Formats: sequence, structure tokens, C-alpha cells
Amino acid sequence: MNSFWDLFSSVNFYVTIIALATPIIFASMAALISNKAGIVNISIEGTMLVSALVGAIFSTLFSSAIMGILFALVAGVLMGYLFAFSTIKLKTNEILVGIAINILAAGLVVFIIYALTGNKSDYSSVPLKTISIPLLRDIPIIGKIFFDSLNLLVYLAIVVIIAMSFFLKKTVLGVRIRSVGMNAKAVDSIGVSSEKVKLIALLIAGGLAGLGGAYMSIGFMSSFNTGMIAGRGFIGLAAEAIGAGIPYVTALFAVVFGLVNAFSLTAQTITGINIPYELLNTLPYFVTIIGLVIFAVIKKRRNKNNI
Amino acid sequence: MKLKDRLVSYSKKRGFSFQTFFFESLKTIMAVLIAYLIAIIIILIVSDKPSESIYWFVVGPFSNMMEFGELIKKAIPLMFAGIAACVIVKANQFNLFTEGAFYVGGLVAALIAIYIKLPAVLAVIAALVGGGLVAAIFGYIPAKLKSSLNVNEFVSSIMLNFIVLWIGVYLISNVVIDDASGDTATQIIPEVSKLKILFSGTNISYGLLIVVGIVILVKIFFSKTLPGYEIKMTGDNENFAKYSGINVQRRVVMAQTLGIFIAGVGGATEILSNYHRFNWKTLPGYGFDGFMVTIIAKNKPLFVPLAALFIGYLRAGADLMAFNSDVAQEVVAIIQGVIILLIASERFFSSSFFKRLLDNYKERRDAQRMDVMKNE
Repeated sequence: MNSFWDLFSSVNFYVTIIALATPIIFASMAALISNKAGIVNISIEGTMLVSALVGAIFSTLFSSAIMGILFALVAGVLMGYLFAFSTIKLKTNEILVGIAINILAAGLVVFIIYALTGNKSDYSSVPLKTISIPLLRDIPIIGKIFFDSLNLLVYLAIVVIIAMSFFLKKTVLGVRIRSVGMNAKAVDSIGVSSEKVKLIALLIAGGLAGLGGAYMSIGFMSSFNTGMIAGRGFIGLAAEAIGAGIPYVTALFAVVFGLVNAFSLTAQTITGINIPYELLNTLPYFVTIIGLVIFAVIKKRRNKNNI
Repeated sequence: MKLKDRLVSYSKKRGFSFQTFFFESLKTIMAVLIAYLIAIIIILIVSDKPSESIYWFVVGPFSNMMEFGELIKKAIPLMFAGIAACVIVKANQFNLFTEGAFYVGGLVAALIAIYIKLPAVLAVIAALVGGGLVAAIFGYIPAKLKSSLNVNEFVSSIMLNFIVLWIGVYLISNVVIDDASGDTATQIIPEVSKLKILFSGTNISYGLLIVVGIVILVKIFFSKTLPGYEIKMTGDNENFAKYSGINVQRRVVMAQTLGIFIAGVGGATEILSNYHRFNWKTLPGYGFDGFMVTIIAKNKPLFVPLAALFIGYLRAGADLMAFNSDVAQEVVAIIQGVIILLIASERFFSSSFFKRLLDNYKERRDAQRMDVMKNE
């Protein structure tokens, strides 16, 4: 590649953006629904890691990517249940539970891989096939980006954003989840168990994180490795904070993250500029911090104006 | 009432109760036993020679002086990370930059040791303090963002971890790389700057003395000084602290920066004790470990070394088991996870649960006595 222009005019670049935004979308939606129920859920990172491995293992076991995704979903829900059980039933501080689950997950995946294969870092998976939709793929530019080389989970992520927005606004359960986040006692007082509502929210969050994990090992790559989540669960939390709890805005930041990440991966191929890849790797994290700061400043200003 | 009097009466209210202490200890022991039971079941399932695996795992670290030294060597960075996390958690903050601080502290200490020529003791002190200070400067960023803009310190500190990691990897693979090493690593750290072995026949360095000193200082800081009290109060109840006239935001920043400084010194100690060159290409993982240690220690500074020794024992045993049999040392992570979940939970064998049990027993005993007296 010769210049930035080549980079920004190549279809592949935009496909990479979408591919890298997808796991953040899943993670941020998991963070969003937990947060709506009034819970800071930092276990998303660990949940994604475990689900990514479970997905890879079951995809090879059944030689089917779909089965891998289903089992990753189940694993995610189970991890969500562990988190919910500890925070709701055992009344443990949610940050501490999150730390415990993340430590547990990081060791557990290595332990499982070693018990199964004898190596400690990788497990190959059966990857998801890309979907090419006839007719739609022939639309100039857009067809190539959106309808030619993406896989099922990417489309699912888009469905999740829309469904989440609808679910929280228009369904009884969604409204209850939001009410629990605002005032759990008020919900209890009308005869709805706030604990049950929280449990459901956390199970959904676990499932979403599970899909995000499955996407990493089955959709994005064709193997699992222990460092592959690389803070994406936490970036999901950041995206949720920046998006102020609105699904579409949150998803927008996930796409911004995808863009920055795609840029940091491909900018080295541009001839003429010589930014070392190590420094490019810091970009997504920088952007996340800057995003958090901008969001905080806006929020502070708004609060001042209201007073 | 003057502020100081108020603080003293407040601290008396937090007074020590033997009964609570006893029940909390019982809870910790129960958690450890349950976690061990789970681990042993897992070993029985995956291992082909389970008795040997369990022997190395449980007894191995005490089999000889060298292995026992290995346990303590593993516990030293955990003590640093634990006491760092303890200071931060006292203010009810979760600044995970302790992780990056270990990396930065180690790197800066190695660079100071290599590029600044100083006489013996001074060289060590300069490297340790330098490592701590540079880490503290980075750690100040998420702390300040939290206090002035209410940016979630947890997320921003984790992002900062990745940033310093990649900057560090860039430095050791491009700028300060020693091509003669055959690795992406700095030059050899000169002997003058190294922390010597404390007990011959083991690998325990003078780092042990440093960390024990820091633990004692932290204990004094929290129980005898005004800023320490104020941090504790801020952590217990921020609004109450604010209305008592405490500058809450300053204390929040102070606790985090201080904790990060300690973690930075910990990274420096680790490198100056156990490494010839600085060559970390991933984060060392002590950040989360520190929070785990302080959870087990119930966030009491003097218990941090004990909790760290316990985790060190688990890990030393697991390493021996992995080396001598067929179970991966990561089984430890399962034990750690279960222990933290159980210890941190309020409902699992809570002290009120035990108290209820005790009260029931007393009631029944008294009733019996009454019966006996009536019959007489």
C-alpha cells in the first residue's frame, strides 16, 4: 500500500473495521444490560475468554462452527450465573466477584487446554464460513463491504443492537430491568422480585459475552489462544460508559474502536511512514481513555447547566 | 468536637472484636478447605498418578530449604502487590494500574541501574525509588481523572496498563535493546545495583526486608497518621467524610498514587532481585493478584504478608506438581478463584451466621440449666 488514501479506499479496510468492532459490540451490550440492572459487570472479559475456548473445543468436537457458538453461548450463560449467584445470593461485592472470575478464567483456560492437548496456549477451531448474499453483493462498494465477506455472528451483532434497544424500551422485562437499576426497592414493592430481574439481566449479559468470545475464536480467527481477548471485555465496559447507556451510541463507539484497531493493524503496511507496530498497538487504548474523558467532560458540563 | 477527636472516636468505633476476628478466621479456613477439596477432586480426575501430584502440590514446598525459599521468593512480589492494592482499596478505589506499575517500575529500575553510575547502596535506592516514582506519575493519571471528572478508574487504569506495556515493549525492542543478548532485552543489570541474597542456600533477596518495612509503614500510616485516617474514612463512607470536612478528592488521589508507587517499587525489586536483564514482553499479572491478596487479608495491612505467603505456597506447590507430575500449575487459578469468591461473600459463613449459632447454643444451654434448677 502506498498512501493513506489507498488504505481508506480499500474495501478490505472497512471489512476489517466491522470485524474488529463486532466483539466490542457484544461485550458492550453485555455491559449495557448489566449496567441497566444496576450492576458493574467486569467479569465480561473472563466470560469471553472461557466462551472463546469452549466454542473452539465444541466446534472441533462436532466439526461444526454453529455447535461451537451454541456451546459458547451456554458457557457464557453459566459464567453469568456464577457472577449472579455470587453477587445476588452470596452478597459479594461485584468488583471482587469480577476480579475472582477473571483470575479463574485466565487460569482455567490454560488448565483445560493443557489437559486436552498438552500445549498451553492454542486450540484450533472450525471457523465460521463467510456469507455472500447474491444480488445484494453486487451493489457497488456497499455490497462488497456488507454482503460479501462477513459471517453470521457479525449480522447477529447488528441484530443484537437493534433488539437490545427495543427490548429495553418496549418490553415488560426490559422496563423492569431498567427500573431495578434505578430503584430496586421500588420494584420489590410492586411484587416483582428485583433479584430475579437482576439474575435474568446477568444471564443475558453472560450469553452476549459468550457470543463475543465465540466470535473471537470461531468467527474472527480459526483458533483460540489465551491472549486473544486482550482487554476487549474492558473496552466493552468503556464503550458502554461512553455511550451513556444508549445501545446505538454504544455501538457507534464500538465501531470507532474497530476503526482505530483496524488502522493500527494496517498502517504498518503503508510505505513511507515508519511508525513501529508496538506504538500503533497503543492507539485503541489511547482512544478509549480519550473517549472516556470527553464523555466525562460533556456529562459534567450538562450537570452544571442543569443546576 | 474537633476533627481529630472525631476521628479518634470514629476509630474506636471500628474497634477490634475478638469474636468477629475468630469467626472471620474460621470463614477463611473454611474457604481454603473447600477450595482445596475442589482442587484435589480435579487432580484426581485429570492426573494419571494422583497421589504423587497431590504430594508435590501440598507437601512439596516444605520438602527442603531451597523449595521453601522458592515459596518466599514467589510471595515477595505478591506482598508488594497486595499492600499496594490494600492502600488503594482502603479508599474504596479499584485502580488496576498496579499491574502496569510493576512493569514500569521494573523497566525504569533496570534503565537507572544500567545507565546511571552510582556507588553501591545509592545505586539500589535510586533504582527502587526511580521505578516507584515513574510508576506513580502514570498511576496519577487515572486517579486524577477519577477525582476531577469521575472517569471510572477501573477501566481507564486497565487501558493504561496496555499502553505502558506496548511502550515498554517498543523501548526494549528498539531503543534500549542489547543486540548481544539474542533476545529483546536491555543490557545486563550491573551487580552493584542488584539486591543480594538474604539467606544463603535460598533465592530470597533483600526485597523481603524492603516489603516487610513497607507493610509496617503502611500499618503505621493508617493507624497513627491523619491522612491515613482520612483515607480510611473516605473509603468507608465518602459522604460522611466529605461532611466531616475532609478533602475527599485529594485523599482518593493520594491513596491511589501511593499504592501505585508501592507497586512500582515492587516491580523494581522483582527485576533487581531475580533478573539479569529486563525482558518482559507481557504484563506480569501481579495487579489482579494484589487485589486477590488483599481480599484474602480482609484488607488489613498486617495480614497481607500472610495472605501473600499462602498464595506463594499454592503457586510453589503447583510449580513442583507441574514439574514432577502431569497436572498444569494453572489448577491454582481455580483454587484462587473459589477462595476469593467465598471469602469476599457476605453470606458464606458470615460472622453473623456464627453468632446466631452461638446465641442459639447459649439459649438452649441456659434453658437446660433452668430445667435442671427447676428439677432440683
